Amino acid sequence: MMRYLKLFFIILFIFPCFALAQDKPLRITITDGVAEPLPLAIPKFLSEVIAVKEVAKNISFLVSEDLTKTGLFRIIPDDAHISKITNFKALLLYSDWKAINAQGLISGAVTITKLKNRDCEDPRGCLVVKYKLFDIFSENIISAKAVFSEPGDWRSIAHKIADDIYFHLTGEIGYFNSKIAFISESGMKNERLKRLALMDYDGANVEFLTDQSDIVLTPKFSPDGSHLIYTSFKLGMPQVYIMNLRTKKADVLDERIQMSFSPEFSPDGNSIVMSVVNDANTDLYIVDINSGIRRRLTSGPAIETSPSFSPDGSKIVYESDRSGTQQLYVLPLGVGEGRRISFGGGSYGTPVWSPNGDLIAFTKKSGRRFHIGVMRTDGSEERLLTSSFLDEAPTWSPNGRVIMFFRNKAGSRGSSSVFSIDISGRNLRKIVTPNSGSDPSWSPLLN
Amino acid sequence: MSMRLKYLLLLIIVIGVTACDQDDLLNGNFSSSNDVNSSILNETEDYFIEKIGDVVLFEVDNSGLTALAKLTLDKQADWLSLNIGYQVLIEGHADEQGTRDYNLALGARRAQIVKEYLISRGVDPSNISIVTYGKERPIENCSAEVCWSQNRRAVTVVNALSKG
Amino acid sequence: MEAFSETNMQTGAIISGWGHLIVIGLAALSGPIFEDSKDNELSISEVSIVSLSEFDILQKRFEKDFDTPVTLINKNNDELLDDQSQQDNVNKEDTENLENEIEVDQDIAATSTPSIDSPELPEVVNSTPSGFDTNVSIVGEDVALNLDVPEGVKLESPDQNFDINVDTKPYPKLLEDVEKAEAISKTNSSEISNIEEVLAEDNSVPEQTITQPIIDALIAELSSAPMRSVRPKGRSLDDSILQVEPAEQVAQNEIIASISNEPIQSARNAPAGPPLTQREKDNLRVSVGRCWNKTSLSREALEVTVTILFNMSEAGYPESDSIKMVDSFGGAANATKIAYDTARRAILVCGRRGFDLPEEKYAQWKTIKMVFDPIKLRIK
Repeated sequence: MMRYLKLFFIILFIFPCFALAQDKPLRITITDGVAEPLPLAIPKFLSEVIAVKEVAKNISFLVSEDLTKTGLFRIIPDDAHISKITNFKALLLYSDWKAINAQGLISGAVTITKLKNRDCEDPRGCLVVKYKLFDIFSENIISAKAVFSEPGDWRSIAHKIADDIYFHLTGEIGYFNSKIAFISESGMKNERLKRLALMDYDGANVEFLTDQSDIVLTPKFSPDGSHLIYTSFKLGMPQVYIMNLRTKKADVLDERIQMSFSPEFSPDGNSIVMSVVNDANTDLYIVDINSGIRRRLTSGPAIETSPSFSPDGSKIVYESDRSGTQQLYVLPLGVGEGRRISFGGGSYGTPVWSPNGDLIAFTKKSGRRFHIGVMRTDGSEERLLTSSFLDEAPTWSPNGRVIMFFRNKAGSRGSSSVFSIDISGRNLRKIVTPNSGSDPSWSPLLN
Repeated sequence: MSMRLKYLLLLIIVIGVTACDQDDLLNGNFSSSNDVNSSILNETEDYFIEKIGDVVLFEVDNSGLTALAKLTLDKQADWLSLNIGYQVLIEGHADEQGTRDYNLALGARRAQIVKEYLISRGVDPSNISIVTYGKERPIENCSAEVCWSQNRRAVTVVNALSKG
Repeated sequence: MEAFSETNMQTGAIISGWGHLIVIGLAALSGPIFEDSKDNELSISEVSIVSLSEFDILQKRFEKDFDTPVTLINKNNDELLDDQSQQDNVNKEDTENLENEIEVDQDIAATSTPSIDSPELPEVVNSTPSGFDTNVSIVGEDVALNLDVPEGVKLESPDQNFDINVDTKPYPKLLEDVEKAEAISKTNSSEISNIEEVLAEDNSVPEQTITQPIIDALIAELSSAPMRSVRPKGRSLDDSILQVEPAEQVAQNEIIASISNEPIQSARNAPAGPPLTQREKDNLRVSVGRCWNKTSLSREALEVTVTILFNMSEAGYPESDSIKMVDSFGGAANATKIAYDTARRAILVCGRRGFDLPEEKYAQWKTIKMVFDPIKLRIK
């Protein structure tokens, strides 16, 4: 009763205040908006010398591609532009761009020139791209930079520009200048040939790291991107190998261990957690790379595999079938036991902790369908993002916004392909690779 | 009842042969083992594959041995006990309906269970090793139970010791 | 791929002299992007990224070293520069000065107080109405000199500003900037990073739009200036002036209003009319929400609630210069900035055709405080 009375008086008191305070601003609270790709204009970059005409076109196209593929931006086609950019330094006619609702504009100029601070092998010098990102409606420049490299690396330049623009428009670090380690596959399912390979995030520049003589599986990048850890049947059984990406030399991680697989780096890059087979039992071990000291993390008759560290290195998430079905568990390192976090129907595997630390991506099997999903680290708020005959092995983009995984088609040819999807569940895209691809691992942002 | 008798009979033979064998091993005479009782059983690998059967199958997501599997393994054990000069490698496999990591572990578990069974049937543990292929090496390609059931398997691969 | 080994080869060559400087400058600029790759052996190749102004300064110097043919005008200015920089050898002092200057500039930009060093300002600036600060003066210079975009940059490259010689007598303010830019490039890296940070922040401050009086002043100035023919072909300045954009129109209206202050005053004192009905408020809410695009918001920015205060013209247009954030919560600085940018964009994009508000109640919606709470936008 007292409460209502109080409320009444408060209301009585406040109302006249409002009535009197006409100079007070009108207060509006907006809670609902729209989700549409942000319209951007990226006029063809200008070429300051004839030699870069084609490259200038390619770079602006690739920047557009990178941004479009995020699903967050829409590029307004050039023929819809009212004014053309003919001079990189010229005053921008904001009105012309407002009229076509361009909310951002990227203008760029490309040249090849000698640089004081950088020697390029090309006799003409370095490829230099200057660009500016304009906020059209606020009429200011958000970013103005110059990027340069060997002329052959124009793709990297474009990715770097796209990363910078993405950062300035979304507040998140981009992921375009990154690599994917994956398994390139060919042949029928029963005689499939597998090669360890690298590619750009968009499928360009595929580079093979092993020949096809041994089965290789599940590569993972080291946190600094300098090494790969993976499973190879080189000696006739699955064993964890570590490859230096600079020298391309690979070694067995621990010769004392017979069968090991499913390796993953710790966030500091100093240790590796992996599955080791002991008789009928597969357990998790952590190996210090420098000292070689091994520590067993799980015991018991169940299968424990697919470990992944939390970004702070204090916990690992893994899958175990100790309950009778495969479920996800979180184990605080050094203390206690794994605690089960997945309770939905079906079975769960390949959990991967997000770079931001707040989500876990996983593979889920329910019935005869496979899904990629995400959940909070306590297992709550599970959301399935995909569904197919076989979706598997999520890997996070460096900024935690996108997930890559592979999808295996049913049937005797049944090839695999790498796909990416936004964690909102939108924007499913196939990464086009020369051969089939599986087991993607996203590198950190490079350079 | 008659089964048991048969087993008993086999067991007696096995024990007998094992005793002979140990002598051979002690003498470092690996290759000569072929001479022993070759008249009773065909000792070739082909025979093992064709007549004994080198494959046992498993239920979905399961590593328990079926009755049929046990029957096959019994025969394998018998043969292996009689043909000492072989290194045994048991491959564990899984069908494609599972994650790569889990299937590797499952394959290892299947192989290990076969290994333990063979040992329990008298096969020399020191000559048996296991490997898992997970879902990497199916023998049937279709994506249907008729193929998957063939792919959930453990294969007993025998190699003459002399060959390394 | 040989590209991998290239990285290491290149690294050695780069760590010296200007290269060193640039790398560190880069670190300061690109922040986390660069940090990720500090000890990164895997890189496709070396791709460097620097701010445009930094790049232009360095490249300018380089071209000078190599005696690349430059226009007479440029040369004159360069010589001027050299003289200047030789005169004051005390780089450190200069840098400190510059840092101070930048801070001051920032303050000015924020508070719109008249410039402190107005005695040294070029005439262009002096001829603009008071109340426009150094920020605007640089806009003016850019426009006057080479039709460059109105950037409020203090460290803008000297060559951009000196492409065209406007007058025989140098612009003291501008020269100072260049001097300082030179000084910066000579001083050590930590100082640079400080400056860069300041600049980076500065970038985020919305810049003043060019308003008609300034343009008028510029026209007046330009018509007496002897160098029109040197301007870049394509769009002439007149073209750009004749382009009447909604925002400028709004600005113009405002200026007209402020000249004869009466209407606003009277509007304030006159009966404000009844408060807006819920329906009218909802209209406004929906019409701004229509342009509040969550797509590009980072997940962190989706946690941020920002409160924005802005003025409306009587015609129903938001006044872009008046838009400011008065409150925010729920996120770090960067996420807040993105949340603010997005909200401001919503007001400006949807406001460009004006909001449908009852004229007779102008005093009720003359100033609007808009709270953008993305509670319904979060990724679920």
